[in-house]
Amino acid sequence: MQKVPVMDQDGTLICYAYSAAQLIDAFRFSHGDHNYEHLTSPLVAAVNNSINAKDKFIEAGRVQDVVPDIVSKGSCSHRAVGARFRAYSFKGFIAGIYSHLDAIRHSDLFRNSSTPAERDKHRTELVSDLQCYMDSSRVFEYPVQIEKILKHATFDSRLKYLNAIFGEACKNSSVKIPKINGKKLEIEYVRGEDHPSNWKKIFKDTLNVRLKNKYSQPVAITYCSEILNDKGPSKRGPAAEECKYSHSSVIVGRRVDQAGKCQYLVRNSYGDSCNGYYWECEHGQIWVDSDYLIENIAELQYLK
Amino acid sequence: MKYLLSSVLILVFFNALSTVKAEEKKYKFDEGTITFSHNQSLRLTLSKSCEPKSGEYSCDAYSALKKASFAKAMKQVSGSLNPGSVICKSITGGTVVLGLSEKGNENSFCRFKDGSMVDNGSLVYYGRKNDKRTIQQR
Repeated sequence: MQKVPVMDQDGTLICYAYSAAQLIDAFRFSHGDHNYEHLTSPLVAAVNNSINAKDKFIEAGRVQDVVPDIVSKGSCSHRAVGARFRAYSFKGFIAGIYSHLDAIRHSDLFRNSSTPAERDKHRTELVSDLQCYMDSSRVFEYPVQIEKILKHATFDSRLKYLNAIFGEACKNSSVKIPKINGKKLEIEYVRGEDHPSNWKKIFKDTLNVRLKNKYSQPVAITYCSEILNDKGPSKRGPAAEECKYSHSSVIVGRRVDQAGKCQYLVRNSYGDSCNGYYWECEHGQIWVDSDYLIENIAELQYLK
Repeated sequence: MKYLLSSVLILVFFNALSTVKAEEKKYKFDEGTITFSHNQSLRLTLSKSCEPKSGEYSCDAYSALKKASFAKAMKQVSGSLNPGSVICKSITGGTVVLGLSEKGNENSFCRFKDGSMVDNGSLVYYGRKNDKRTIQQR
C-alpha cells in the first residue's frame, strides 16, 4: 500500500471510485506490477461505470460495481489524464466543460422556436465562448473537436462527452489488471443490514482476516464520515438516521495504541493533510478506534 | 461587553498563531513547486510567503481562516465531497487547486487573489473552530 499515494477527490462526489482505484492499485503493486507511476484514474472509472449503468451522473456509485469495470476495461492512468487536460487541476477543467455543455443544451440552438439565422448566430457565439474557455484553460490539444461537442450536447450527454475525451486519453495509457491463477479479479461485499444480529462481529472478523493476510489488501468501507472530524455518538445501529454524510474510504492497517485500544488506519481521499481530523493521523490516513469505527460502518468491500 | 470580550479573544487567538514556529512542506503545482509553512500544533498549512519577518501573518489565505465555516459549507451539499473544497469555493471565495507532495500524495489547497494558499484541511479545522465559537457566543 506504501506504493499507492494518497489522493484528493476535491469537490467531486466520487469517493466510491477513489476507493475502487485504491483497491485495484494496491492489488496490482502487490502482484507483480511494478509500474508505480501508473495510478488508476478514479474519474475515468466513475465515468465508465456510469455509462455502463446508463446513469446520467457520476455522483453516486458503488465500489463493487466500479472494480469489475476496471478489471474488464483496464486501468486508465490518472496522471496521463490529468496531464493531458490540465495537469493536476483537471477537475476544474471538467467542471468548466460541464457548464458550457449545459449552456449549449439550454440555449435556443436546438429548439425549433428560433429561425435558422438566429440559431446560426447563437451557435457561433456559443462555439466562440467554448473555444475561448478551452484556450484559457491551457488545454494544449483539443481532445474532441468543437463540432463533436455540439453533437454530444444534443443528446443530453455530458457523460458521453467525458467518455469520448477520456477514451482518447486512455488509448495509450491503460494497463491490464493481473489475473490470479488465470481467473479475473473479483470483489465481494458484506452489508451490515443483511446481518442484523451479528454485523459488528462479521465486520471485525472480515477486517482482521484481510489485514493480517500475507498479501494484505486494503478493505473499502462505506461509513459515516462525520466520525473523522469529531468523536460524537455512533451513527449506525439504532441511531442510523443520524448519519448525514455517507462516505467511502479504505482501511489499510491496524494497531494497538498506547492505551491498549485496537485501532484501524483509515485512508481517506481528502489529500495528505491531517489538519482537519479529530484523530491521530499520518499523511491523510487516520487512526480510529476499531469499535467506534465498526459501529459507523454500513458495508465492507474487498477483493476476493 | 460579552461581544467585545469575544472579539478580543479571537484577535489574541489569531495573533498567537503567528508566533509559533513551523516546518516547511513543498507541493508541486502546474506553475512549479511552492513552499508552505506547516504548523502541526496549530493545524495550519499556509503559503510560506504569508510569513512576516515580525508580527502577524499577512495574506488573503490567512484572513480566510477567520471566515471559514464548516457548518455553512456542509449545508450547501449532500454527499461526501472534500468539505475543505466546499469551504474554499463557497465560503471564502477562493479557487481549489491540487498539489503533489514530495512523496507523490495529492492535497487540495485554496488559492486567493493575492496568490496565497491555505491547505483545505486547515479550512476544515478552523471552520469547525469558528462554528463552535459562534455557538458559544449565542
